[in-house]
Amino acid sequence: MFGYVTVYKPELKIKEYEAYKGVYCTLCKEMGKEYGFLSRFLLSYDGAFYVMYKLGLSNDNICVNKSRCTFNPCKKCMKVCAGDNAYKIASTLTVILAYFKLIDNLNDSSFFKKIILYLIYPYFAFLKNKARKKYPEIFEIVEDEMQHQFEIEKEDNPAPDKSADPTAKMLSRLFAFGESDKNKTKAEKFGYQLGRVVYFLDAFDDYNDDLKENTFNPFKNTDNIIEDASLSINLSIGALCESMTEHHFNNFSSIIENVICDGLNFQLDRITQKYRGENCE
Amino acid sequence: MNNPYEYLGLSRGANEEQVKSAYKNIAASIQNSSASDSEKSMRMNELNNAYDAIMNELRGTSSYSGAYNDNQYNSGASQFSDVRQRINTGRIDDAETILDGIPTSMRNAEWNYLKGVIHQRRGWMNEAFRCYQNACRLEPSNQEYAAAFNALNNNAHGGYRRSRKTSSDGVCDLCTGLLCADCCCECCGGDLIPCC
Repeated sequence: MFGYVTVYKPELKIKEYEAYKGVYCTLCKEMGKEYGFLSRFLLSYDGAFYVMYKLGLSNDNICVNKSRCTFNPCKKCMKVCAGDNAYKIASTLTVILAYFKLIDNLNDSSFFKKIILYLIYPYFAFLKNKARKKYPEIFEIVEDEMQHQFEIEKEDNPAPDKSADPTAKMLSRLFAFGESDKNKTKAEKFGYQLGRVVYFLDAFDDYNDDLKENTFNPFKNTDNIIEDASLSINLSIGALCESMTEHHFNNFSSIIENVICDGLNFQLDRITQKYRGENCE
Repeated sequence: MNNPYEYLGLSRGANEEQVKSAYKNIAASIQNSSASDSEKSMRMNELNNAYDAIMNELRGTSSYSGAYNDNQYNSGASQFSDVRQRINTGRIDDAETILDGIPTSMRNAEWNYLKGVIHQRRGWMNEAFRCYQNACRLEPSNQEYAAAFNALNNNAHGGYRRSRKTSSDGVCDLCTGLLCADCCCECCGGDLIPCC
């Protein structure tokens, strides 16, 4: 995941924002505990959303404690604890995705950048091995679908739906991971559409760079990038909102709704603005 | 019915891919033949039964000997009732195989609509949108196709945000609307709400 799955702050209540930050802080601490101090720099809001989704579906009660931030001890933060499992899976996932992102960058960057990436590579490989040992299933899901993604991007102009399929399937399997039978199909559907949104947002964001460097982009063959990308992204956000109504969240339901129905749309607007601005110049 | 394998011109032990390609060939030849529509639909029905029987056997759901029942083919109302039936029972892959077996010249509005439904079930929203669009273009008066298209078209323009926002204050909107209407009426000398 690439940092697109965040809340839209203006629509959040203060208490919701505090809870959201609490989940983020707790995940940060969990990462420090599981994968060492440095791994905390890999943290993203996507991981926090994954935790919220998992905790939202679980029946556990959520307890909130006061705590302090390790990086900035003057700052107070909440510790939202419940279902440690969700935090463990999310931290493992963050580490594994960071590793694959590095591999991806290694494949298509310039010579000097490669040298720097090779210097940090052993650390990521170490983290990956640790994560793989803890949750082999999760590693397998990501590795599997990343491989599919790689194969599809080598094909000759696949349709956007097809190119998004591996990433979407990856999230679909990750969201359904460990869910009960009752929630499994719902989580699969939800994860699939979320994966599509994230993939298309990323493709839309990188469109100009991809054109310049002649790397793969699912929207390469469109005449009007803004229109086509917005259509694809909006269709999937719409499907996500519909899928929201099928879920029954015990916790965080308003925050999850905020992320899905406002946060993702805000990201789309932000990227659209970026391209509109460039056109005006 | 005879042995479904014979019907498809295959020997026992054929794999799924072979069955699917045999199915497509025969379906195309039926659709291209000069037979009347009712005969075509009868032959398609037989073919579908044979295909189902083999698929069930290959997937281990049941043996073909028990799988037959006189399928009431609902000709007239829908050309693709067999496809609809499969979609309703969640057999998306089978439904798609049948649709793909239909030659391009026979692909009408309903074909596009059903293809769209299949794509939507899979989560391939872009393709679904395109198929619904085609269905509506080919048959603009059909309510079913229009409803499916409008639902997606609404989302495509960010409608999911609006529908959520307005649902919470529907009552307020109603009251404001009535008050405005009352003011307008009073301006023209009438009165909508006598007490104010």
